Amino acid sequence: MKNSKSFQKELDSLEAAPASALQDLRRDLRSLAQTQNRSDQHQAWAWTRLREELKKEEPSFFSLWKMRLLPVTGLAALFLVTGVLFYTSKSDLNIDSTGPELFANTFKSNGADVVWVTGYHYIPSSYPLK
Amino acid sequence: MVYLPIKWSSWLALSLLAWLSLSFAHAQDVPLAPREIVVTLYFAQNGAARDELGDNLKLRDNLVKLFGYQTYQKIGTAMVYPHSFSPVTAWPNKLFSLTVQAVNPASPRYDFELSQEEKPVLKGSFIPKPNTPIIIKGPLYDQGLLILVVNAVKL
Repeated sequence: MKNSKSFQKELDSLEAAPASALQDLRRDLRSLAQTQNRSDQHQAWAWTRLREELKKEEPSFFSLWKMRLLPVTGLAALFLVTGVLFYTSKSDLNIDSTGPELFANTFKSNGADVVWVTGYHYIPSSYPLK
Repeated sequence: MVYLPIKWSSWLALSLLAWLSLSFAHAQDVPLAPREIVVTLYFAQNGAARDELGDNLKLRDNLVKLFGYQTYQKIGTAMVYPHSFSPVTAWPNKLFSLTVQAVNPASPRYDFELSQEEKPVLKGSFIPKPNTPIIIKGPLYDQGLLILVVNAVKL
């Protein structure tokens, strides 16, 4: 197996693959194969181990979710909740100012918006309303 | 740990977020259908006067619950149609006036100013919605209370 064409080909294809945490192991295997200071048995073991590591590192939906989708979805949800809170905090009815000596408070009652104003002067019945 | 080229998921999430935000903003700020603002002045009392809210039991129950008076006499009604950005004024009687003005073409919100004998009582803003009246407590008059009710009528 050592320095066989198929092994070299496998190593070449591995090194051409996108960078990953397994690069050190691949580099070691390459080094071992070139220096020939390890036995065939050891290289076979290393190659088996590399395959096992590769199998372990295969991306699953769970790891995809954990590493990328979860933070992005979390951020999106956070922005959405913030936006909803911002918009709903603005009521349909706002009182900006009142006349002198008057005070106003707003609340909802049975589907209606109520403005409760206090501080008016009493109007006697001598004042015609119509 | 293997990092895969999964930028599509980020783009997908961001696109979804942008779409939701725009939809929500649109639902909040899109100009509503034209509204007519109806201002009615009621005189609430416990005397033997004829109750003129018999045809609007929901509003009557609400007023009874809020103010405790049993009869509601309609003093006057005025309607305005704030279709442009210039202020329009409704006079339900000679005592009160309500000036309404649309200020932002992208929003259904109107600024309003309620005056009593041309002196300001309230200034603020509101979004007119049918079936959601605005009840404004007025001054005490004789042995009762004056109440303004602002309604939005879809044209």
